[in-house]
Amino acid sequence: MTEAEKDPHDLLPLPPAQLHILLALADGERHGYAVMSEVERMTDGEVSMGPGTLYGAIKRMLNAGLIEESDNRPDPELDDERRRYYRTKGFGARVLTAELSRLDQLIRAAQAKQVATRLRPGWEGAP
Amino acid sequence: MSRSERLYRTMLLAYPAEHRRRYGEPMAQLFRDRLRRDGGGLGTVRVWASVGPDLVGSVFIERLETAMNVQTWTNRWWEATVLVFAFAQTIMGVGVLAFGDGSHIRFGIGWGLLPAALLLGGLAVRRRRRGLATSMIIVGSLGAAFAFWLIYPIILAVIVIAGGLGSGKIGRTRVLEPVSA
Repeated sequence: MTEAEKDPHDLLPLPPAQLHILLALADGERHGYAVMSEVERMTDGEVSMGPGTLYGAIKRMLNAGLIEESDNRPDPELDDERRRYYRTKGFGARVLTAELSRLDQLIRAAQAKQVATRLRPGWEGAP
Repeated sequence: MSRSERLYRTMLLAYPAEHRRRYGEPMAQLFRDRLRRDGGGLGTVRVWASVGPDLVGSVFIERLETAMNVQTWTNRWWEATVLVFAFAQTIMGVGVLAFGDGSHIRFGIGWGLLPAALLLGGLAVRRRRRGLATSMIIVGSLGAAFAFWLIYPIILAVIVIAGGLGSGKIGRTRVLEPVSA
């Protein structure tokens, strides 16, 4: 099956680690530490991935064809050449778009139900 | 290399070998980067408090995934076992035919074992040689069915006699008790 024939919806919902990594790679290729730092930056430190989680997710994403290893070195002078860089593939970008659209739909449904307002502590219907 | 990194590298041995071979070095490097950024005194403790559970959890997941991917090994083991059975059956079939006394039952068993061995061989190689395996299975099944017809009446008779002996309907006289009024 070619990349164009693959259906992004087959992989939804994405595991949180994979979603964060795809988001971190959305604006360029990065190595493991840069991905981890970018995820921490995007989530204001709420999400911090350890090496086991990060490389476990990377392995699955490589197998699923979402990302690929890159031979380019954005800054060879400043970088350790043993570092592995990763970048999003076309299929990975389509999966990310589909997942964000799914989450957006979910957020809109939650907003329509005013979940955030109604489930505030103190509201009588709150659990 | 710091003691923490040495310890972390040692703990990486808990991962499956394939995972360690591909990702062991980048993981150790990521740990080193984390230590550089957050380590030192209590920072090192905080790094370990974050990386420790991550390591235990991911080792469990990777081990589980590896255990679920033993299909290849299982298939090979299964194929080898079936081939050994097929080979043993061929030897037995040839032996029965060669050293038999020419009776119908030996003839039937001998010619029954050989096509059954062919059938087993077909089952064993069906993943690698699909066309050959299909031919072997069809020929083996037909051959075995035909050969077993030769001894089928004898097997049927043995079953009927054994069943009769077991139920007491053969071998002793049953005396009917008079029905009391």
